[in-house]
Amino acid sequence: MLEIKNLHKRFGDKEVLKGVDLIVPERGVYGFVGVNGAGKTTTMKIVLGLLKADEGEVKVNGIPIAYGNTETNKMIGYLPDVPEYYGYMNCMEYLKFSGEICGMDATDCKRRSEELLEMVGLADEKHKIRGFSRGMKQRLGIAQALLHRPKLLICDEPTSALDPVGRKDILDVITTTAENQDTTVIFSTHILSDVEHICTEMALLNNGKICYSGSIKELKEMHRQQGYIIELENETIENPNGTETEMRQEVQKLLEKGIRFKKAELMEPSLEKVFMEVVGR
Amino acid sequence: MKKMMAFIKKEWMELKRGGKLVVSFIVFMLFAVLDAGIAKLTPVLFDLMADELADQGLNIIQTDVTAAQCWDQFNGNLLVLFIVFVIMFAGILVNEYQKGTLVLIVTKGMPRKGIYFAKLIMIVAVWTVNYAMMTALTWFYGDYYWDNSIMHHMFGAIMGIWLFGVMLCCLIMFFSTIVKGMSGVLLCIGGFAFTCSIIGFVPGVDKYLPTTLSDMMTVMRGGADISIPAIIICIVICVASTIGGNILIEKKVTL
Ligand SMILES: Nc1ncnc2c1ncn2[C@@H]1O[C@H](COP(=O)(O)OP(=O)(O)OP(=O)(O)O)[C@@H](O)[C@H]1O
Ligand SMILES: [Mg+2]
Repeated sequence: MLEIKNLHKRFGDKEVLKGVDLIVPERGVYGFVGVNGAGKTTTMKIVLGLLKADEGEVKVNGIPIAYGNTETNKMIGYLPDVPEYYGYMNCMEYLKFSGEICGMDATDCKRRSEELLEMVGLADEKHKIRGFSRGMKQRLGIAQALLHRPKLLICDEPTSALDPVGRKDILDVITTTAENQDTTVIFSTHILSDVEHICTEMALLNNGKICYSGSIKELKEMHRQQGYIIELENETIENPNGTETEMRQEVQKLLEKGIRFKKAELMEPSLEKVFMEVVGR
Repeated sequence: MKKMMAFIKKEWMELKRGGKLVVSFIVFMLFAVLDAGIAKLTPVLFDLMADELADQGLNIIQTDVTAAQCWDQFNGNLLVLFIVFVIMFAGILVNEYQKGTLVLIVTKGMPRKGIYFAKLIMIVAVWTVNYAMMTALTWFYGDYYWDNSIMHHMFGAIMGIWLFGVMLCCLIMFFSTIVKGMSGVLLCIGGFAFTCSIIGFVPGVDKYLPTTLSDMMTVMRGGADISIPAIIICIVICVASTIGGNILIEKKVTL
């Protein structure tokens, strides 16, 4: 769906992207993870033709993008980190205007807008956008991004500014989108639990390069730590290098001896830990 | 073209809901009323103050007020009107990139040129309609109380002032592609006017300056002809700034 090859970008003397290679497969939600300032937004803006790359090649659905060109953007829906609208319009008016800019048919646009507003939970919101909360703006952002039925939805940190409830809502909407709308979603974030929840695959951007891309399971597998912990009544047995078989044997022994224990646990790496490890902090 | 129409509709909504349409209309109409009103009231004021002034040894020679006084006021007030107009519309483009509202629109396929022209058309239209109403009202007062036929080159003079206003609109758009904020646009327009007035000190150069079109007092009183070179230069500035602005907006990095 999206192919990025050897992408370079510098701002002044600061090299932000130092050869990013990324292939996002069709379907599913793809996580794009990196620390603050890693260059996630920059990469996305290049894909959208809002920024000019210094070097490299980007293809959307096989079609190369060009700076300022909007051809490939017809296939892309974009939700920026802080979406800004015209405050004096209401949702419907804004979507109508967006539809006209996309060149959509008026009746089709109206039907689609109603459907999307229903989906994001803004159907009954008649007020002007001026008074919207951040969460509402993000919802409207998703609606406007999906208006022209894009094949690819690019969301830049859609959940970063939201409270847990708002976050869950947005994540749900994104998951539904990926499932029902035949849309590939790329989703940048630094909140790893979000990635774990909704993404099937992910890429990790660090130091201007992609240092991992693939399935989340495999990433965890790769960084699987050895070791287990068994908690007894008033003692814990910790074996940092033990394997699963060793733990089973240990548990067996305890059972035979009739010693009670509260829990036995294999050390599962959290994405958080893996992230820290890869980023090197 | 369709996209530009959609954008013009959006601009219209912005002006309407933001109140600028009404406010600018009121301001222009106010100026027209003021032009005629001050001309009409001048003798009354003099009458009122005549005694007082006479006490101080000043003798007022009663001058007849004609349409000329009314149009003098009209010309004299134009400077303030232009300043108000520029302040009102200087932010038309820069405010959008300061807020970032264009990002979504541009990624949806709105051509930048379309944005530029939609906004330019909109301010030129606002200027034209308001100016036409103001001039028509002044004309009406001029005929109602006095007689406009004593004036000279009226059509040319009125069109000259209109052209100057159009040039201001073009310059607002052009400078908007260079600077970051509204104060930058104001500064640039101010700088342009200042440069013109500095150049104006050179004797004989007046007739080439577009700023001569902003005050037609002498022309209307029959003291001079309308300067054709100034008109040509004004048109050249309009065209050049529009071409330049379109090139620059395509190159603009942050929308
Ligand atoms: N227009 C610009 N001019 C100069 N430097 C810039 C510009 N845009 C981005 N940068 C720099 O590029 C780096 C990457 O920025 P970017 O916004 O892509 O990061 P990010 O991964 O999206 O971070 P965040 O998680 O905070 O959104 C930052 O260090 C920033 O300072
Ligand atoms: Mg960012």
